[in-house]
Order: sequence, then structure tokens, then C-alpha cells
Amino acid sequence: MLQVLLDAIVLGCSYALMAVGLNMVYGLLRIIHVAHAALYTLGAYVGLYCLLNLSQSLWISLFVGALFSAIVGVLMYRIIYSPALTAPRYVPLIAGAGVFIASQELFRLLAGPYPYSFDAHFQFLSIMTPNLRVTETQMLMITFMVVAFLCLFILINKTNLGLMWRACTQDMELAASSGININLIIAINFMIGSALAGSAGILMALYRNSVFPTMGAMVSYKAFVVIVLGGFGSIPGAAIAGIILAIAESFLGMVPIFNLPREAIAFLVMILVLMFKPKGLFGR
Amino acid sequence: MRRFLCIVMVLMFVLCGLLSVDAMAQETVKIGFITPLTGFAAADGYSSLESAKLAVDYVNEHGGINGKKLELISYDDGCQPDQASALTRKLIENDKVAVVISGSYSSPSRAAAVICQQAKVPFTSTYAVHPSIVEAGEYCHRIGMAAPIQGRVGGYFAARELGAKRIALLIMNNDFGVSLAEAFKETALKLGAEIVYEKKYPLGETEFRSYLNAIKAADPDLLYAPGYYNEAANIVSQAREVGLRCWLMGDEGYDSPKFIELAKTAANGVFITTDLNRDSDRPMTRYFLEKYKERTNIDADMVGASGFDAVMLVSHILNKVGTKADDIIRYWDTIENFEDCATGPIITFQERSAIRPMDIQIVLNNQFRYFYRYYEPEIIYLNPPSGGK
Amino acid sequence: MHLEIGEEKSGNSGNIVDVKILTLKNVKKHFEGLRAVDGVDLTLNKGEILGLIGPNGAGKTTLLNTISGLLMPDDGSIMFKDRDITLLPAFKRAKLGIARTFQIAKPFSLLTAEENVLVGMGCKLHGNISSLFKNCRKKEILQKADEIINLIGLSDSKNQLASSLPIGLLRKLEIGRALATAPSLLLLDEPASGLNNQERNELAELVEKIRKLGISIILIEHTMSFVMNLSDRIVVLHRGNTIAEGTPQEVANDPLVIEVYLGTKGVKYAS
Ligand SMILES: Nc1ncnc2c1ncn2[C@@H]1O[C@H](COP(=O)(O)OP(=O)(O)OP(=O)(O)O)[C@@H](O)[C@H]1O
Ligand SMILES: [Mg+2]
Repeated sequence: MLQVLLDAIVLGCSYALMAVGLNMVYGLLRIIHVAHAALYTLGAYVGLYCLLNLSQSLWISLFVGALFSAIVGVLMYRIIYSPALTAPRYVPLIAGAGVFIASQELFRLLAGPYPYSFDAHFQFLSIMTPNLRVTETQMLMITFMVVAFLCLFILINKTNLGLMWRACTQDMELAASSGININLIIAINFMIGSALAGSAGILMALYRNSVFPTMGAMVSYKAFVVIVLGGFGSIPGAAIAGIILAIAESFLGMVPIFNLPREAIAFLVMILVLMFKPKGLFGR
Repeated sequence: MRRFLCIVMVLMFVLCGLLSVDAMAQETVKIGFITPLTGFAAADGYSSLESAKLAVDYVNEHGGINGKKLELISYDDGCQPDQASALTRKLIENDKVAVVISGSYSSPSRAAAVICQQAKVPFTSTYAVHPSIVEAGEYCHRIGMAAPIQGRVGGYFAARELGAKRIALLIMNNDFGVSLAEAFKETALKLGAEIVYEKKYPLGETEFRSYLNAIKAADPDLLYAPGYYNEAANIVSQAREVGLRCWLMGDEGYDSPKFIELAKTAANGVFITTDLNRDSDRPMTRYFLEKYKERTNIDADMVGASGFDAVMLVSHILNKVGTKADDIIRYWDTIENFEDCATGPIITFQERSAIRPMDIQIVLNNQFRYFYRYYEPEIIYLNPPSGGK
Repeated sequence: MHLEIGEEKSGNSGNIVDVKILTLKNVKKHFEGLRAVDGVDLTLNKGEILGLIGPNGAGKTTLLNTISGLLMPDDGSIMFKDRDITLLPAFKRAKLGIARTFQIAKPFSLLTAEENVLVGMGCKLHGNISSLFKNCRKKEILQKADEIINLIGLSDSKNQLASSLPIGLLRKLEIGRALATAPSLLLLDEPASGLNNQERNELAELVEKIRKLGISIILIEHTMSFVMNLSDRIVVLHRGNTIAEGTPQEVANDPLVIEVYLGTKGVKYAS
């Protein structure tokens, strides 16, 4: 039981890392950033490239992958979303979906259709007892998630940037009239969210030992379920809902008579939330 | 400037015209090929198409089709049934191909089969397994292993050869996984095994620990997990990680060097049902394995082998009877012991599906190795011949 | 009191200096055929309070939006302190010293009153990226925020969420947030709407105090007594055009204005 819980939490970390970026964008711009998952895959590919060509170190590949995703995330905003912001809301949605699909084909053209293995060697803590196994990768994922969310929490609640970010999520016009450089805040917002997505991609590539063009598809819709569950725009909501969803999936998946695939469980959760608590568990 | 551009454009048109005239001048025999080159199935599409091209080159080096060159016209169906129908129509109506080959999954292949049947153009699927593909009609054949046969072979191996009594099923939720699991289950139950766990998972799933923990609790002798290698690599490595100590068995979907690369040492000891025997010394198999590696720098897989075989078989038929659809179909059903293919020899076609000896391979030392071969008609025939039981 | 509001604090605060701080030339803003602002010329002197009045839909708010940068004018030019700001985005204008409030009171409703002021103070921070990552509740910053909060008289409720404040305090908080950006021009869009008499008087006092800090003000208001008492000069807008301009007295006696405002308080006040 404990083992199942732990495995679920590790999985939940990846959902949460993805969903947070989505929610940061939604909170600020009220658009659903479908192309977010492209950055997950991008992070994994760049990380893999680093690992194969630059250095054997997982840490360097994690850093470079996240950095790359962050830069591309900002470019995505400037090139795709920024011009579409004044248009009806489905326009950025469709633009994002287009970019996501195109990105999959781009990865395929550049790196080929086959999955790559992500063979990084690194030292980290691990727990190996008869009742509980936490592999090094699992430990790394949990640590990363905890550190990332702590940093995010401090950033949002304690710093000037966070204050301005919170102001922007509430009223962009008012924020601009108060002298906040909204372009800068949006750019930083995309940078952070995209870096988290990129790192999630690398960590999952490591965990699954595979990198392939369509690896973002599954996490992308899981992340949507998570933000519905956690409440649109809520960052702690995304973090907690990510883990709750993974736990729900894992435990419901174990019930023998409950013969539904994991995917169906996620959407069942989403439908239930929309029916009974449309603002999500932590929505405001 | 503008005038210059105009001249360049005109020149280009003329050149294009000349080139196409040139191409027309040499008459060829055309066969059509649809395969996913984009989307989630792109890797299989790539294997399939490269292998088909390899076979075309082979045929043309050995005299072509009665002196004419064999020409392969291929389109990308993105693994979408609607694309597959549209492209099949295009192959038939615009390109006027003699035969259509599908190097795609079950649903697009089924869509293509229906179109070919309507247009009365011979069609064959390669590695797609779903029974209904050939049910479209008498113009539709299958080169690969039909799911009922492959599932049955898996069932025999698990319940009879390995003697598994308690069996767990973890099934990929699509045509492929479900139709294999059905045949496997029927056979295993008939042979006295018990199904202690059964679950479907969606294509693209990567996290199996919760299922595997439940499976571990059910304490099976064998886990049969029909699916593709991407998911299978995760299943296998996570199964070892959670400490599931039972036989692991898969299908031809595992049959790719990528499976071993992704699952690493966890792949060792996994059994699969397949028709590509990498340890075979049949010249055609060796030719395919070597040339494929030379051409693509990747080790060959089962998907590729069946694309290769389809082109080989079709060109054999075209050589014998020409390009008339009805002649092709009539001859097709009389084929016996066709040896010029990379997979085990095709013994015959039954209900328009290829019948061949079936192999069990095992991963040892990070390589697929020959383990067992079934010849028994009651196992490898779709409907065992009346002479049997 | 050592408030640093208003960049160039003039010695004789409260007096109008003959320096043009804002010049509008032929500013136009059309909404698909609707000429909301149709060629307005306007100047504002340093330290002056300019009252902007006109019937509903006259284009007052729209004009204010073109000055603060929330709307870009379709035509014409806007000069602020000898600088052409016609095409600058809103946040850059705020940095240059144009602050505003909104007709429908608009605070950051999920932040406390104090944080609202802190956001305004952040206006001057963007110079270097590193300041973004510094603590937003540093002592000296909080001290400055307190001065503003005292000035607007919100010390008792500074830790309340803005969404929980009554309208009277909300109007003051908006002004506080605007003042925190250290403006030299303050645009007030109907700051007295929704207030009772006492609150209105307090607000008038606050506006007087702000003027004494050397900040020029454009004041849109429907409550005539309020605007007539405070303003040095009045501009009347009607259907996107200025129809009258002058001291409160002159404007109140203008026949065109009386026609436009027939039977309203403004006329009664003037007579
Ligand atoms: N964003 C907009 N889109 C279309 N029309 C607008 C927009 N904003 C304002 N208008 C129209 O422009 C005209 C001027 O509006 P504005 O809000 O500037 O008037 P106002 O003088 O502030 O009126 P009030 O005293 O009621 O606040 C009105 O007819 C209004 O309907
Ligand atoms: Mg107005």
C-alpha cells in the first residue's frame, strides 16, 4: 500500500509540474496554453542531446533542458499568443493546439520517429527496504518537486516579482496603469512555467528511460484534468490536485472489478469535479 | 526583377514538364503503399516504408516485373482511418496502382481494405492483426499474423509449454491488444489455465506500477501483456522494479530492437510471439536483416519484415499473372510455400490470411533469440484443416 | 513629513506654475463609427486642477484612457513634460508619472490595502532585474507605504483585503495606489461617485492635500459642487468635443453648457 502511494506521488509530481505552468499562464492571460506540453518534450530532447554530446552530467542536462524550454516558452508567447490575445479566446487555444501538433512532427523530423533511451548516471539518495523502495530517480523527482514548489511559493508570496505577478493575475489593466511592466511579468511567467515543464520532461525521460516525439500527449491532457481538479489559475491547487489525481488513478486502477483504464479515471474525475465543484477544489 | 522571376518560373515549368515526360516514357508497374509517417505511429511507418523500398530495389535488381520496373507510390496516412480511405482512393484513381499495400495499423488498414474491395483492386495488409481487415471481401489479404492465430500461439505457449496455471492479462486498449488478448484468453482457458487479473490500459500510458502491484498481489505464473514496444518497455522494467517474479510474455509488437534499448536488462527473459526469426539462416531473412541495417543504420524489426514480405509476395504474383485484378486474386489464393520472404515461409493463405510457422523468441543477453517454433496445423491455421481435428 | 511624491517639488506648492505638463492636440478615438473623442485639444499647467465635465457618454473616460495609455488615440498627439507619449504603452506612462483611478473603483481585490499601495510603489523598481527578486516587505519600503496610507487615512484597515473595504475607503485606496507610483499627473475618474456627503468632503480635503504636493490633477466628476469647488479650470466635453472652457464661473454661465446640462445641478449652482 505504502509502495503504491509512493509510486503515485512520484507520478503526481510530473502532473503537478506540468499543471503549474499551465495554471500560471491561465491565471495571467486566461488562455489555455495547449502548446505547453511541447516544452515538456523539448526539454527531454535538449536534455538528451546534452547528455549525448556535451556532458555526462544529469545536472547539466537538466539545467540546459530547462533553460532551453524557458527561452522557447517565451518565444512562443511573443510569436503565437501575444498577437492572439485580443482575439476571441478560442483563437489562442487553436493556435496552441496547432503548435503542439506541429512540434511533434518537428521533433520527429529532427530526431527521427524512434524512441531514444535516456541513460544518465547520477548519484542520489535512495531507500531500499523490503517494504518500501524509492529509487534514486523517484527520490530525485520528489526532491525536485518539493524544492521547485518551495521556491515558487517564496517567489510569489515574498518578492517584489511575486507581488506584481499577483497584481497582474487580478487585473492586467490596473497593473499596467500602476506602472507594472506587464510584458516583463508575462515573459517571466512563461519562463518559469516552461522551465518547470522542460524539467518535468527530462525527469520523466529519465524515469521512463525514453524520449520520443509524442511523449507530451499523455501528460498534456492529464495536466488539463489537474487544473480542472485543482481550480483554474490556482498554483497550490495544481500541485495538490496533481498528486491527488495520480493517487486516485493508482488506487482505483488496483480495484479488480473497476475495469476502467487509467485515462478513463482521469476524465471521470474531471467530469465529477465539473458537475459538483466546477471551480475545482481550490478555485476562487 | 519581375521579368527575371517570370522567366525563371517559365523555365521551371518547362523543366518539370520535361522531367515528367521523361518519367512517363518508361513504363512501370505501380504498387501503392500507405503508412504512417507522422503522428504517434511514425516509427512503425518508417520501418515499414524503408523495408518496402528495400524489397522494391531487390525486385528491380532481379529483373523487375517481366522486364518493367516496379514502382512504389507511398502516402502518409498519419495512422488515421479517414486519411487512409482518402489516400487509398487517390492511389487507385489517380495513380492507377495495380495493388495497394497497407503498412499501417488495424483501423486505417481496415478503412483502406473497404475502399479497395469497392474498387475491386487487390489489397493486402502487412502487420495489422485485426480479424476484420480481410472480412472486407475477396480482394483483401493479410501478410502478417492474424490476431486469432498469434493470440492462440501465445496461449499454447503459456499454458502448455510453460505450464502456467494462473495468468494475468494487461491489455493495450486498441484493436491490436484486445484482439490478441481475446484469442489468448480463449486458448488459455481451454487449456485449463485461470485468469487471475485482467485490465486494459490506454495507448501512450507510461505508468504501470499500480497495475503491477495489483498483479503481484494476484500472484500469477505468467503475465501476458499484448501491446507495442514503447508501453511494453515500461511494463517490463516496472514489473521487475516492483518485484513481479513471473513469466512475462508479449507479442510481435515488442519485436523491435528499441524494446530492448528502452527496457534495458529488464527485457531479458521476456517471451514474444513473432514471425521474424533473427537466428534463421534462410537467405532471404539474412538478406533483409543485413540490408535493412545497412540502409537505415537501425536494426530491423518485425513491422519492417512484413512490409518487405508484402512487396516480395505481390511482385511474385505480378510476375506470374500480370496486373489484372481478378487474375491476381485467383492466383493469390493458390499460393503455397512461398519462400522469398524475410519471415518464416508462407505455407498458404487461409481465409486470405497468411499461414506460416509461428515462432516464440526470448530476450537473452539483450538480444532476441529463437526459442520455439510451432508447426502444428491446429495451432497455426486460422481454421485447422479438415484433415486435422 | 518627507514624502517624495511628485518629482519636482515646487517651493510654493499649491500654486499653479505656468509650465505645461500635458498638451493634447487634436486627439481622436473612434469606436467603429462612434466618435467617442473627436479632436480634443487640451493643456494642463503644473499644479493645476482641471475639471472635466460633460453629460453621460460625452467621452470623458475615453479621453482619460487615451492619456493614461489604456487606449491608443486614432489621431492626434499627446505631449507629457515635453515628451511625445502618444504611442507609449500604459505602464511606461505610469513610470513617467501619469497615475490614474477608475470610474468603477478597481483595486487588486485579493491583495490587502497595504499590498495595493506596495504594488504602486513597485512602479519605480523595474530598473534592474535583481530588485524583482528582493523582499517585497522591506522595512524602508513599508515605511514609505505607511506614509501614503496615513495620507489617505487608511491606517486602520491597511491589512484588510481590498475586496472587503467599503466604497468610501476603496476610493481613497485607489488614490493611494496611484500616489504610490510617485506621479506628477493624477487622473481621477469620478472619484466621488457612490460616496455620501461626509466621505465626499474628506475626499475633497485629500485632493487639496495632493495638489499641495505639486501634483497636477484632471478630475472627472458629475457632482457639480465637488468639481466646481476644487477645480481651477473647467473643460466641458460634449459628444467628443470640447464645447466650453474657463473658470468654474465662466463655464457655469456659458449658454451652450446650460443648454447641454439643462436643469441639472450645475446650472443651479451657477445661478
Ligand atoms: N470600448 C468601447 N467600445 C465601444 N464603445 C465605447 C467603448 N468605450 C466607450 N464607448 C462609447 O464611447 C462613448 C463615450 O464613452 P465614455 O465612457 O468615454 O463616456 P463618459 O463621458 O465617460 O460617460 P460617463 O459619464 O457615463 O462615464 C459612449 O457612447 C460609449 O458607449
Ligand atoms: Mg466615464
